[in-house]
Amino acid sequence: MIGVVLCTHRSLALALRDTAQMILGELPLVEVIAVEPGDAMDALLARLRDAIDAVNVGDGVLILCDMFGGTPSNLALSFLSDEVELVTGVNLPMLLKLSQSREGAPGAAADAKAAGGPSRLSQVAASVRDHARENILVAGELLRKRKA
Amino acid sequence: MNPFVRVDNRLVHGQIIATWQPHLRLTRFVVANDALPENELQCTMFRMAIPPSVDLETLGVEEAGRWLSEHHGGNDRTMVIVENVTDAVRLFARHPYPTLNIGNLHHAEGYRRFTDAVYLGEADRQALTRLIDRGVRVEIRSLPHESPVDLNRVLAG
Repeated sequence: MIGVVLCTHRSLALALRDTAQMILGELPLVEVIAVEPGDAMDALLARLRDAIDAVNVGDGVLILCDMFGGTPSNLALSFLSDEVELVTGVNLPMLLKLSQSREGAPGAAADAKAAGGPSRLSQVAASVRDHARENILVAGELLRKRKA
Repeated sequence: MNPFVRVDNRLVHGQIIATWQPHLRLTRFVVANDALPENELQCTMFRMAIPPSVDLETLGVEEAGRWLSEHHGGNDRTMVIVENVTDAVRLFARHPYPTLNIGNLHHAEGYRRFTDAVYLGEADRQALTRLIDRGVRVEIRSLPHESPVDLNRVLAG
């Protein structure tokens, strides 16, 4: 199972996990990091490293951040590797989709990579990004389309 | 136009992109940090995070001072970002500036709290007092619309 680290400004990460768990029930292998104004950068990096280690069971880790270019994503970028991917702009649909697609046989990520294709981790990252985007809608536009 | 010089240990991040850039109608960021030019990923990321119409220079502190002196006097609206007070002082030695904004400086043992986002150690307070003695106006203000803490007054008291 792909591990998840939610890393956002302030307590958004906690609220997102709480909300997703209200809908789906307990979510295993999800760590949260709330970046507060007075937090030291080196301490945040250490917490992020611990969180990644805590949820990595061999299938890789997806870090979800709230905004590209913000401090949480700036920090997360330094952990990018074959085993760690980052997706920014996290929203609730992204989390719900991820909870369905992150399960897999242990070692599946390594197998996919050995086969030469994009790793399972990158595939899941791209698919949750697409899903999150597709779920941002302007309701009025939908109604107008239906009438047309 | 004089650059807006800011101390921010997070360098380019959400507050700067979402509030300061539009508030000051900035046309350029100069990030003055000795470690940054070697960190290609970080430089690329900063470039992607700021609007495409805004220029970005990522230079060591001394080099940034030289760069600012050479590019002084145009109509560019520039924000210079340094990571800490020490680098602000080093920059001042190369390229004096009239005002200094302190946006984010995290907590460390023995530091005095000024706001939620700004803590200053004894060495920082002494260095800032020296800058103030040389005519710099120093404020603590994380976001444009916050009321600033006037360090010229606070540190004199």
